[in-house]
Amino acid sequence: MKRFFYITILFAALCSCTKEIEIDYKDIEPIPVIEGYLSADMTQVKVTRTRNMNDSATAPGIRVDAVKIVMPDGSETTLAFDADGIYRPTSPIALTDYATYTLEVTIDGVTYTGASTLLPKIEITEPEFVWAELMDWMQVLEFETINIADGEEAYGWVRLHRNGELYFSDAGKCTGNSPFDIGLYYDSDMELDEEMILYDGDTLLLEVRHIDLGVYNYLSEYNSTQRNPAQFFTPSVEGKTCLGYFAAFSHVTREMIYKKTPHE
Amino acid sequence: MCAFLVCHNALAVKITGVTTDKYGATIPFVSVCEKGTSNGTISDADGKFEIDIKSLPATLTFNCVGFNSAEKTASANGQRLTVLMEEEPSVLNEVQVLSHHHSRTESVIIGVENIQMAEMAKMPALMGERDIIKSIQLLPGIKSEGDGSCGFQVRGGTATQNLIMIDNAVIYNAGHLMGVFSTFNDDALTNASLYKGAIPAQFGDASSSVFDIKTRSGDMQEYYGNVSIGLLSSKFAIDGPIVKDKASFFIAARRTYFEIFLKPTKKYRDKVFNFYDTNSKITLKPTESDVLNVMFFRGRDNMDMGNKIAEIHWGNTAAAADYAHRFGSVASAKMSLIFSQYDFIESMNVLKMKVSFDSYLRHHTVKEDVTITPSDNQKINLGAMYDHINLKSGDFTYSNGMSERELRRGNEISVWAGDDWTSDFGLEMSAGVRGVLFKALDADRKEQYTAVEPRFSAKFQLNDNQSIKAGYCRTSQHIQTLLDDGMSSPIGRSIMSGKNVKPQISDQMSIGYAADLDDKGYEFSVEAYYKAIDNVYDYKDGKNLGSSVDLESLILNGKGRAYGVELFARRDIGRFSGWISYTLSWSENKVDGINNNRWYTASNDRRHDINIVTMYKLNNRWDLSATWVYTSGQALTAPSAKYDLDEFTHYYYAERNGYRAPAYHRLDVGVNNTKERRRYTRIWSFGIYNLYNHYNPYLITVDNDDDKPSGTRTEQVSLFGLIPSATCTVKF
Repeated sequence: MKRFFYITILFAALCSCTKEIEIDYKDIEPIPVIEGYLSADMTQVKVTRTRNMNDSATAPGIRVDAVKIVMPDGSETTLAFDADGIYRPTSPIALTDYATYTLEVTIDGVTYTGASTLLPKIEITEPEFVWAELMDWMQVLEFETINIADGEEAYGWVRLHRNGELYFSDAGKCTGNSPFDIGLYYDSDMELDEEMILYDGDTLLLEVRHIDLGVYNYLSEYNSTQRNPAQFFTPSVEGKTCLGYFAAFSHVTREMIYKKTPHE
Repeated sequence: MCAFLVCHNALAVKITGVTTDKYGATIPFVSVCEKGTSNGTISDADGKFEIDIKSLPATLTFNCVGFNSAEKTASANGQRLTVLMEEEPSVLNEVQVLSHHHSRTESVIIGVENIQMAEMAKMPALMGERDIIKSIQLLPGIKSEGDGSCGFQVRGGTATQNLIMIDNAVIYNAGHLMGVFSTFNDDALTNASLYKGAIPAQFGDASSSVFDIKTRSGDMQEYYGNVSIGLLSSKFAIDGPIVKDKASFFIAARRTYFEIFLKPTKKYRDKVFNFYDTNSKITLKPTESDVLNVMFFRGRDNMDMGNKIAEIHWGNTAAAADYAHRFGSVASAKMSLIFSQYDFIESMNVLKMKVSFDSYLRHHTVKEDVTITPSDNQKINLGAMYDHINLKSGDFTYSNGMSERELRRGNEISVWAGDDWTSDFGLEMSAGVRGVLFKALDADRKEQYTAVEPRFSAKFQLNDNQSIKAGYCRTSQHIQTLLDDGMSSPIGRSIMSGKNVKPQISDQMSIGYAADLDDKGYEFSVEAYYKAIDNVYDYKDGKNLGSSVDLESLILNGKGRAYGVELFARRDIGRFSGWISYTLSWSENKVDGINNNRWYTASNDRRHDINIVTMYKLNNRWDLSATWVYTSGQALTAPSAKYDLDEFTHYYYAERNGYRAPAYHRLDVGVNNTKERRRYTRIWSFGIYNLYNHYNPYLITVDNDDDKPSGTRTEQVSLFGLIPSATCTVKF
């Protein structure tokens, strides 16, 4: 009888499944996508468009009418087209902490405007690889912030590159100093996403960007819901839509070589 | 002339009365027949009946599932009978779910499913459990939210627009194991009514429906009990007298032991997955006119990944005391004190990350109900209710000990008056009005709302077997739980009416026709409805329940509408019984800021809903059953474009609910083997859920896939395939 019970439960579990289905996705007119960054060592704006669900190729960058950054004193810096939809300043931009910068991108006669405030670096402890037992053992990269005052709200954009490719990216909120635990991969006999598994010798570059609330809201919204994030850019013509963000940030980085340690 | 008068008198012999159990509680929907003829009627929801007979004396027979047949002789015109019916010991503990034969033709209230509970025991069960909420979803106009949810949608409304009450205590999120089972143990229930059309004036706070569930009282003469052992859970119920004829008790409890199956595995042995619920009731009857009931209910779900790393707990707790007094044969009054609470707690404790979220909804309620029956043709219901509500919509605690919480308080005072009136020419009316005063108490969002809610339902009996009905109902709802992706879940956060949130106001009109073929046991009905709802709230683009502790900053205000037609055909006499129900419906919302402010398909819109239920009694030991369910796919928000940002692919959603998920359908079968012994009855119940193993949509995901030419992979996650079950029940 006991065996029957186990078989029944196993049977039920095995019957639950995931299967591929076809959805007749609706095509829409392409929408501009603006990805703008402003920091001491990287200022660039990339402009692309959305593509239909059945397009496999990465969207190519596009040329637009104008790309400008408006400084806190009202002066403007025009960015020049470089390649593949990327615009860069022709000379370095002097940056000031707590100053607000505005990006203006004009596409097909419509100007999209978005602002971002540059904030000082968030300092962090040395990151450590640790194991956490959830349903299985999970490799976690752990660190803490150390220069956020009690009660102060700060927003971090944590990015992790593995061998030069972006491996993890998410935004988090701290009220006072807080720990960050980045779940990396499960060490399990279950079927896993092989691309997520880290191997000995992998080079990891951790980057923590200090961003403002507007950028944090955009990043957290497109990562957490099956809805569009609120539009970051304001169009000069009502009813026009544009995706993407403009993030002024300062950042800290840490480089590590991964070596797997036992977890039990 | 003289002959005419004699003849007229002979046809006008009218007998009235009421059907009651041995405690004096009325028994609704009892079949009343004049013996030796096809003449018959059925008692109403209050156990009252009226029958015209051809000659005197006449013998009347009374039949109701769960009770022994009774006979009474009527010997005088206008005679009023009180018919005492004894419970059938062998089925005493069975819960019966389905609307009784004739109830649609006879009931004056349009859109009500008066739920006795007999056939439920013969129907297929999910994982060995028979479930009142799963069963009502087989009736017209009532749909399941889908696998993995105990929520049900009534006439185009969402699951959170239903008010579910157990002995007047409000229950939220009435599901165990993320909706696999309902939180109600069928052993503990006696009857229930689902009002989906014209809601009587004594009920409020529901934009869509009221599900009024009553629990069992203990027997005052004998001890009874039953034990059921299933694959995933077991339960027991026991009841009997404390002092014969004066006091009784009832206790029922249920617990799952899913964890036992995980123990042998190294990986899952310290994990916790369980639920339990318990019902208890003490009934005191100091005099023939006084009854005091004290009820307690608690249902709880617990999940723990082990070592308190990640925990989720949620459940309902309710306690109610009601004292009823009968003033002669004309009036009765009932006073109730009720407490209910739903709470949800979630925490993660991984390495240095220690975060938690919890919420609760708490009601403290005082209610007074008065019923006056000035004549056999009229019943007046008056009442008042005070409800103090505490809502913690969210309390976030972070690793560094900081926390954010949102607390809300409100008072609601309701008064109502209703009148049920029966004419001599086939017209019956149930009319009432409810007045509501709601006051938000928090200093930063003080606001007061008043509402006058008319309720009306009328029936005109075309002849003995056919009636037409119409109804109108306005309701308001001051607690609204927001849905993420159209499905209710234990974690759902709620808002309360106040300065920034207006009460949801619903207006519904419905018309219907019902007919039955007396001697064949067939019944047919059709009802159509139109419902308009103001102040429907939905999340802004990009927001969900975790976006901010300030829930009111995340939502948009709008309105909704729903309309449809429900068809129902049933046979309930003979070995082969069952029904077919079909609902054609539309449900739409219009919210400024969503889908360019246009009307759009609501997430709970399902165009077609078909239920076929069949039961066959092979002999006294074996009965078989099968249920087939089909529902059009749920409206789905899926992307219409993709874009690249920060080296990852993201998706653009051109409109909310612009797509359809695949249709839902499944076949369940069951068989019961019953063996009656001298001292006990043993029932083996076997069932197969989803016999043809159809994978129904639970979740649809869109992912980037570089191996596909389109670069997009769309997957459907299904929760339940074929699931066999076996349960052994012993009743004594």
